[in-house]
Amino acid sequence: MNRSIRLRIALAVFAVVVSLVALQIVYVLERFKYTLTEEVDDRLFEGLADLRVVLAAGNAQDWIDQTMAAQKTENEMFVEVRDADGKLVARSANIPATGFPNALEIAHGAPPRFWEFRDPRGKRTSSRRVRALETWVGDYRVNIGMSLKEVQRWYWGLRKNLVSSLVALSVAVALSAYVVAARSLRPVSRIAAQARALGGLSDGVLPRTGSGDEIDRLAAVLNDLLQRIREEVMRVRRLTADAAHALRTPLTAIRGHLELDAAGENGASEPVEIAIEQVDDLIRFVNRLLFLEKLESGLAEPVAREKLDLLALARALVDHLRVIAEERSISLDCLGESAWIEGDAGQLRQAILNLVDNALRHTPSGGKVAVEVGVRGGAAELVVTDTGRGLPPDQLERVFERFYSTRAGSGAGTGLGLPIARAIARTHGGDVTATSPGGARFVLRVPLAGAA
Amino acid sequence: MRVLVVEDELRVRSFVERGLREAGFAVDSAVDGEDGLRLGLVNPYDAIVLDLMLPRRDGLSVLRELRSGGRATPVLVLSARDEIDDKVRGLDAGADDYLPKPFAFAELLARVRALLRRGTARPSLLEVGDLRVDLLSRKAERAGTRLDLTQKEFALLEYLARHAGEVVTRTMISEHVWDMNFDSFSNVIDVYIRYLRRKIDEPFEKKLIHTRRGVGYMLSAAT
Repeated sequence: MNRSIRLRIALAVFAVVVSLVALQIVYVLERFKYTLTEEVDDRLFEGLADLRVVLAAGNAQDWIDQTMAAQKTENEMFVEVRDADGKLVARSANIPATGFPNALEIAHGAPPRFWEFRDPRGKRTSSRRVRALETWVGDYRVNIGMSLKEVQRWYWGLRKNLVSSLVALSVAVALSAYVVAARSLRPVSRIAAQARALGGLSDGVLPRTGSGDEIDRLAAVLNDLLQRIREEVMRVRRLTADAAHALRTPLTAIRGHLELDAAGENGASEPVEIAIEQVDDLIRFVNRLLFLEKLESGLAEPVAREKLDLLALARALVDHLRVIAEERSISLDCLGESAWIEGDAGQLRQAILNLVDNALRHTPSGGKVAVEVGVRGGAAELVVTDTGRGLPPDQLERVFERFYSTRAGSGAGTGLGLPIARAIARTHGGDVTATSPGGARFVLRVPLAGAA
Repeated sequence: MRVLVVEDELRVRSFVERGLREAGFAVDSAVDGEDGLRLGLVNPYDAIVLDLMLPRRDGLSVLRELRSGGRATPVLVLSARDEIDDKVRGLDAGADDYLPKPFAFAELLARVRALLRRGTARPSLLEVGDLRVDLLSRKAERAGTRLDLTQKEFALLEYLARHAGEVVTRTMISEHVWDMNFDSFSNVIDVYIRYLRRKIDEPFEKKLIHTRRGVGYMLSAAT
């Protein structure tokens, strides 16, 4: 997520820089070319002025030959002079026999005209362009040209330089944008990690950078929100706990009186027996709720820490529960390796029982429930798999919510078994998670002894 | 047998009193800690049922005063709070047993009886009708026929036989026979009761294992 934001910022900066600089380069190159061409034109006019003098003196061909000899090919001149009838008066040796391609184009008295042609001797058109000026000098029609080779060389040189700077610049800018973005977003990663670690609504706040920037302000707002949610949740929880607590005494009384009636001379009547069972259900429910409440609010009795082998714990429990599985023709097995942890044996047994009980209730007869214990990734792991219908992806987390019980199966639970199993695991510094590779698969992880 | 019940909650006190009377005990009751302590120090009770949360003087303090006053009367502590530290504190202060609320009356009764039985010799042979349970050789027979029981089945039968004629709850069974006390375990007990019935009652006309629906089980030769 934040990596893509970094990348997106970097790419956007890159795109903006590339297009702005490219436009600038195009403009600079055009200006440069224009300036160079103006210079060439100045030289052509200078040549023309000289030619005017020598034409008046009648020694044009000599001047041309001398001038040509002193020239470099980079900016060599091309000169051709004809009289009004088109008869050749003088020409430089470098002009091919066919002459200037556009001889006799402009009418007498017309203003001079610039044009360009390709030096036929050239190999590459781009480097062999010639800029020419056609005009009248008295009764002579003069074509004077100059090779643009030097101009081209300057132009291409500059262009190459500019383009490579552009590439380097853009990459540098994009990289620094990426780095800056990554650095500014680092608090976001920290906030996300911290938020994830907060998990339940236990204490703790999101880290502030203290810089007062947008991200810091976001963290502050989230902390505020977190605090209010926490208070609200605590309020609801207190309410639930208070209600459950308040129910205990009347339930005890109701149960006691019913029980005494049932134990009377005539034995219990059917309705009284049913009432006792219902009250028992209620009591069980209230007890579970209060237990979960204590676990989740972190007020659970300090977990008795004793060194335990998760495998031994699971195996003993599975041996006890096997009779229930056998009654329903479900095979129930426990295997794996020893995994030593520290914790409260009673609570952990309850957690394992809830997971196995849940698996048994959702496995059709003839199915299989397996409990496997091992050490994985530095933690003790207990995996309960069943051959039931499994869980759709959207329920993998929801089954841990209180009272969430949609899995069709025999015998409805109170919807508190899995939340209690998870709360117990969390009290032990671990967790319970669900996947569904076919049947359901619940994994209880608890840190190894000495690792917590 | 005379029992003192110290409990401020009328709703709870009334059925505890009534139940104990129906079970044949003479019952006195107190509604607060001061009252309870006074009665406990004056009268020679065989057992005291003491709530922890009491007005005027809390249960733990009553317990301490009783003990420092030289009263060795067995005390069963009740508490709406089932925090483990309460349990520990209660036992430290001299309680003999502890029962969290809500509880089944059968359980309270069984615990009171257990307190009263304390110190009496335990027989090594239990007889219920024509059923004989030999605790030394760990063998059981009915009407002269040897019963082939697994270890767990025998342990369950032994527990039922020790409380013959009394209702025992599933909680009591799981605590004493399986040494486990937690939620959802009662199904296992029901299965074992079924196994036991198949061996002890099915071949015979007179049934010894009785179900008290919503309460528990009872082993009894009486109908």
